[in-house]
Amino acid sequence: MKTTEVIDSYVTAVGRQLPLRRRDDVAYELRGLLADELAERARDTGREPDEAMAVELLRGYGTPAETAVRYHRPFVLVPAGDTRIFLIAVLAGGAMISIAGLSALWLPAWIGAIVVFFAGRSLIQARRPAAFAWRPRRMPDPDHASRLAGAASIAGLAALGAAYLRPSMLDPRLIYSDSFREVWRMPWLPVLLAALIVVHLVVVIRGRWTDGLRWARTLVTISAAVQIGWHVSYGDVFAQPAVDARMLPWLAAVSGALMLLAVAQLVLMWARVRPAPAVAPA
Amino acid sequence: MDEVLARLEAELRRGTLVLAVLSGLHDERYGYELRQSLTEAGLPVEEGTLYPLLRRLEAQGLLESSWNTSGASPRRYYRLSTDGRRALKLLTETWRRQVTVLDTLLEER
Repeated sequence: MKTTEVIDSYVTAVGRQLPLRRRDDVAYELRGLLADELAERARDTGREPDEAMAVELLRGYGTPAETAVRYHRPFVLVPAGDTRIFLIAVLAGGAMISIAGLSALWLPAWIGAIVVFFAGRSLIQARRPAAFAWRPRRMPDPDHASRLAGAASIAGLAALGAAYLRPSMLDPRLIYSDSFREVWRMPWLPVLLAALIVVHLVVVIRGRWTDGLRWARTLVTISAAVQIGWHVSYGDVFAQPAVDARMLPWLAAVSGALMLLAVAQLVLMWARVRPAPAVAPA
Repeated sequence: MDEVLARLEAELRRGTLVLAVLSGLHDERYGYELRQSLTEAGLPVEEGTLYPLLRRLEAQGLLESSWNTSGASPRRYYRLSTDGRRALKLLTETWRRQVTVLDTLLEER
């Protein structure tokens, strides 16, 4: 291959990655400059320029894509600073699609929607940087616990426990089967509800959440979700099969909702920023 | 560590590149010619950095350019624009202040 062909090949590859209105002019200039550079290298080495010399020169210049980026800052679909949140959004969406049992086709659709969202954001950011300028936000104390909300949670959990123990109060047809009344099935959910009530009671008394209390709440929530899911999969919860058939999908939904709640609690704990030194000061 | 030091040095040099380029374009020059003159002056610049920089400075209005196609190989010549001359004056003053401050800081060691 002639050296001019090697240079033309490189210049063409660079030009293809530049905006239409600039590519021909930049390519024209770049071709001349590279020819000058190659001639200089030939003079320095004292030999005629050849294909190997031209390739070496151009490899030192960078790949055509790298060179094009130096000439023109391309449009970025997902800016580097957004990559982390982009990946989290993709994974969270994938997990939700999987949990909801939706078709796998929803995953590329979700990823496509996320890419379009970030690309639009990136476009606006490039044209109007002020639109995304940082603004201070008032930060509530993350450990503060509303005593009123805590008391309401306790009342709600107690009501839930009562309804669980006596479902016939809600509807006379909701009568547990003998199998479900056995000691290894029915009694354990009230134990978890009681544990959750204790957690909320401590929070109400202290007026604050702690990491330990948060973990206790989440672990109890996961245990409840698993236990309800197990009851659903085992079946035979209500005495009448028709009631069982109608209620078990609802219980499955409750189990899934509790698991999502626990995941949300874990994510919030994980995502929380606690300014602290990585190494204890001497 | 050597790589880190090399990168730090390259970053330091890169920070001065725009000033060096502007200072070399009072008279019009084409890219290769400018690179040669900077190298001869003791400031070697990678061609892959310099040529795109000329285009970017032109897009920012600091340089003007025109093609000379009369010779054997056509060349695009660059020179300072009015804004480029103002930028050169401002950057020169900033550079001199920085040098004074850094000299003071370095002498305090």
